[in-house]
Amino acid sequence: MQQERDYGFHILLRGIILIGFFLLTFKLALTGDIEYYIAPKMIPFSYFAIGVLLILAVIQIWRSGSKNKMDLFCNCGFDHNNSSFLQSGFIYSLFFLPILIGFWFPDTIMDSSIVANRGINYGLNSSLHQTEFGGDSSALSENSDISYLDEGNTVYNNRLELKNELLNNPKIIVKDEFYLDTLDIFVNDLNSFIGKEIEIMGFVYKEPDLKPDQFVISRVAIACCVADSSVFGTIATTDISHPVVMDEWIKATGILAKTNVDGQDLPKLQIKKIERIEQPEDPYVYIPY
Amino acid sequence: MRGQGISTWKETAITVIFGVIVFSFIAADYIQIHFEIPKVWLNAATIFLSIVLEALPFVFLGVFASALIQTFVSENTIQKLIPKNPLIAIIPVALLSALFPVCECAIIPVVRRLIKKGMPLHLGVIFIVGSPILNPIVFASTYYAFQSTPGIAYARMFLALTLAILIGFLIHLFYRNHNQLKWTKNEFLDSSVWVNEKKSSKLKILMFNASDEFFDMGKYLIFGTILASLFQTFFDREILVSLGANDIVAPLVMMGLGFILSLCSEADAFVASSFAHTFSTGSLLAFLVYGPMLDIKSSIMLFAYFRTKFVIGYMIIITLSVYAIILVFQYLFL
Repeated sequence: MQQERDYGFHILLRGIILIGFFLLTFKLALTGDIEYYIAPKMIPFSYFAIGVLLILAVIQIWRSGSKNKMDLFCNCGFDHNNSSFLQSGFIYSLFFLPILIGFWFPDTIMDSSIVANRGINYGLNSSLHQTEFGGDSSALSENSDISYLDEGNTVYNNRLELKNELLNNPKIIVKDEFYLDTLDIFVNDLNSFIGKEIEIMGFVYKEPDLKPDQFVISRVAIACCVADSSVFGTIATTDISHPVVMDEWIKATGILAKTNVDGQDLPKLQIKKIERIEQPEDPYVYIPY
Repeated sequence: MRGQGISTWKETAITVIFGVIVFSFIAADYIQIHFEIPKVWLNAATIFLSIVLEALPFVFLGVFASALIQTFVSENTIQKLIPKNPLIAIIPVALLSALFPVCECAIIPVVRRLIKKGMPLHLGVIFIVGSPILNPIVFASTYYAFQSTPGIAYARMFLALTLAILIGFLIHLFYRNHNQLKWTKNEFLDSSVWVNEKKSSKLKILMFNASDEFFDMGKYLIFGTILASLFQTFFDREILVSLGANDIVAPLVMMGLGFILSLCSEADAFVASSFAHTFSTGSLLAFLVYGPMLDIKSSIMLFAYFRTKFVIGYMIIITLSVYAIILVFQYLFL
């Protein structure tokens, strides 16, 4: 009898944990705060998880009150009879941890505080130093048959079309949807873009390795969830007496020039006009895969 | 109902816990906490939760597939499908693993169930190491991340296939088909008893199995995720840069990085590309094949299902195989 009571208790407690996970994911999805954690393309999978959590929670709670003895036995992997109070206490706190963090911790946006550990990128793989390995960086634009879909439904069939589009514009506005590709095109084909007028938005990051007057206009890019975030940016300098502060969001317009960092030629934005802006609704850019 | 089987203090505990969760759900947004949590810890917590949220749907997919197999696939069916000679099956199974485009969170419970149902151990291992890499999504993301060197994406697939075959062979060599699974209560109470129990329908059993399995592996997953998120937050990747130049050491360094970061195989190519200017191609490939096969999160999950001794042997076999194959590949092609 005592044993049955214990099973009933564990099953009910698990039911409550499932409810906790359900309420958390449901709330995050409802408020849209889930985008602080995972990329939009992964969110439909979460809807599936929310449904499953609700069903399992209901079944589990119903099961805990079941008179059918067979329903109570479970395959928990740890032996109820021998596991101490402390052991099961620890295991259950593991499950409560994400629930409580999710409810109580403030929404956190990845900013310059992650750059120190992760480094900063100026293009996708701007300088794989063995380019001979199946690669030819000058031919890349023609070869990659990846489609680019604009908000206005302009489709670029490949990099080359995007590049031509950029080259034909008198002023290039770097859009979030093509942020990484645009940066990569600048790095790989720098000479074609020198002297072009560019408008770009991002937060300020002062990279210690750069010259004192240089800073980086950066964005955090995410593939699936913020755990895989990396930071991308464009080096910039300004003559205008506008002291930039770490992490502030700016929109800058300027002329693209060239600078040299550790022996590598990189694009540099010579800023003519700078504007302090609010952090955008969606501060991240997303990697299309 | 509750009072029937549960003592008073436990009932109180349950009520309090439930109360805290409901209160958090309703009130957390309206209450300002006034103590300052340092930004790095906020980052760590966010990364931790993001991995949990990201993994959750895939864990459920794996758990349900496993529960479906448990309920509807018989041992006989599996026996019939597996060729008598264990070695003949290795290559077809390695190719087959490409048809299951699932990541490590989903594949481990499924494989464990298949092994339980009589699939040979080494073939199960091929699924665990092969399917997270050998799939179209991973190919596409790798191709995109290394656009100017598409060779990386092809080499990643080629190496993963080669390694899946090699690892399957080595597991067979060292372990034959000895049972390496932990037993759990479920198998202890013969499941046929459950099905015959008239009040427990098959669907109900399936739901119970799924939920039990979620808790079974969930604790390992969450523990692994805590470790991974701490490494993600506090480990300075710039330290590695000085080690990147050496062809012999660099692959090991990048394998270690893949292990501690515990990224999804669809997303790791972009992280790899951020090391492209400091690390050799061989070591980037080491990162791209080793990480999905073995990382903190997945190896802790393996401890949930397999015997400790086996998991350690398995980790050593995978580590040595990947390192050896990468060195050979570097020597031949790079």
